[in-house]
Amino acid sequence: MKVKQHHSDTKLAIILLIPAATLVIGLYFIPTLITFLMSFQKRDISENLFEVIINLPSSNLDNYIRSFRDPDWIASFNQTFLLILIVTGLGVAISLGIAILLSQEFKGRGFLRALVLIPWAIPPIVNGTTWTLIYHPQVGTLNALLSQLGLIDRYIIWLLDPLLAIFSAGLAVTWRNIPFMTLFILAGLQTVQRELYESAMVDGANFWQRFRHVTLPAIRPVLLTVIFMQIIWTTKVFDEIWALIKGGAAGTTVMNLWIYRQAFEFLRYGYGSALAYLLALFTSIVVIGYYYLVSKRSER
Amino acid sequence: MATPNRVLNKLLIYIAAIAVALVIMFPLYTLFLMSVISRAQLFSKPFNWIPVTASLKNYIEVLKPEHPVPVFQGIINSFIVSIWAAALSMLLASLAAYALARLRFPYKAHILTSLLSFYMLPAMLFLIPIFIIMKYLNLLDTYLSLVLPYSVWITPFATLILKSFFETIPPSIEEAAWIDGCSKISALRRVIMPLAIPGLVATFIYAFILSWNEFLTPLIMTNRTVMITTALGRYRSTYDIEIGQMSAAGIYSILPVIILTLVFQRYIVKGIVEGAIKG
Repeated sequence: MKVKQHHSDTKLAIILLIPAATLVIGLYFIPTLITFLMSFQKRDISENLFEVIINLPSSNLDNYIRSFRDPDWIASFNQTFLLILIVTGLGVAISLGIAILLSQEFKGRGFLRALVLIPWAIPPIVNGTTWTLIYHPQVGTLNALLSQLGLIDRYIIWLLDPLLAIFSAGLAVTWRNIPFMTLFILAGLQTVQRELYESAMVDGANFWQRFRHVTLPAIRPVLLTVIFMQIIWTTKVFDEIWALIKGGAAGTTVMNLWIYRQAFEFLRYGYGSALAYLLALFTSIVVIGYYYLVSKRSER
Repeated sequence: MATPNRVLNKLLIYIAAIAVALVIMFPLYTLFLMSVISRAQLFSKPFNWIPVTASLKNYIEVLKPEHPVPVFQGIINSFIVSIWAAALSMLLASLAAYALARLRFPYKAHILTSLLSFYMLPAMLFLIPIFIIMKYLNLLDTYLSLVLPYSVWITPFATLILKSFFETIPPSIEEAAWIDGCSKISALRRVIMPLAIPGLVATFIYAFILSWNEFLTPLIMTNRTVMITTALGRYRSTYDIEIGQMSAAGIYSILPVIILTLVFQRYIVKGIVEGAIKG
């Protein structure tokens, strides 16, 4: 009887899963496989799917080898790496601060929590466009603000210097990521046991000591997850960078953008596919590293 | 527990709260300000943070049919595509989520893990061949060329959100339906789905916002069939003459998603946190 029950479960499960599975296999797994095949073919392979099959015997590693000699690709790797450092570092620090603030009790907390959610909903392309207005050399609000506060005496062209430009881009991406990181850290903070704080208070620990010895150890796994998600998401950033480059940003071409340009501007589908797989490889290394850290932690 | 200490604490909290609110509002206020002020005010020094005169001229201008950037058409198209994509992914996800939440079958853990890969891998990995396939099928510049790819990566998110929702429904309810002679499918249709309506609505809203915000896919797949996001990409923020209009179009594009987010705040927070915990 029990076996039969199990059997009918499987049948129903297959029926329920087939629609979603068809879509995902047809438009995700198969395309991903096609990209893999294309990455070993001529870099400017035509748009004909059949040609991908016909060309299979002449597959080689040219695209991958070429990528190591492509100075723009290497530059885009460096830009991505810098962007990850900026977005993760800045984002975690700011969001941790906001999360701690939101875990306090004060009037207007519900309002602030709703407000903090808003950047999540903003279309990334609008976010990028908005920051081109903030950084605009003549009419930008950042220059206006800083000069009125007396912090600068000459307007800064934020997007001209590559290092300043990537930092500016990082700030824009960070702003959009604040809601996710804050909510996530806040959820972690709420699991910290109240008794721990209370006993620390009794022991006379001040705010900083409580943070260092109670809060931080308790939310370390949450922070690890947030850092991991930020790294992954930053490799996927596209819209903000696209808008900022259009708004005059120099040297902010990240990997994702360079892949887009190779594939859809220069129509080098083969080369673009190889670069997409290299980016996926980078992502996979991060994922494996994360799971290694997590499993090592749970062993202890 | 000295009282002055407490007052100081409260004061610090409020200062921090105001600072946070200002940081969050700064970009949005910039966009709003630039959409309502005149060109002369844009260049005025010192810059006026509170506009002397405000006008809705840009808001009317960008919706006109002769406006060089098809904002109005973009809004209409974005609504159509987002509703279709949200409906399709909600439908597919609700079936899959029920199976994953309630039924016992082999390889379940593998399916769940493979759903998670969507959070990780770059979209470019499958957009290149999807573009080629769409072109081959003559589907470029159609709604379908957007609805299908959107649904592909929204469905896994939606499945995870709905799965955790189904798990909150007590199993005794459907067991009672089975005892009353309902088959598993009709119990799902008549008993579980009606109970899951709040979860389904939340998933729909979540999927709608993700679709509305998508930029890279329409940039690749469409040209004449413009979405609000790609319409916005056609402005040039470097030409000050277009700044006001671009900002007004930007405000139009964020209004629907901000309203939805604030109205469905509770569900969205749950979706963000739960979706990620599983990642």
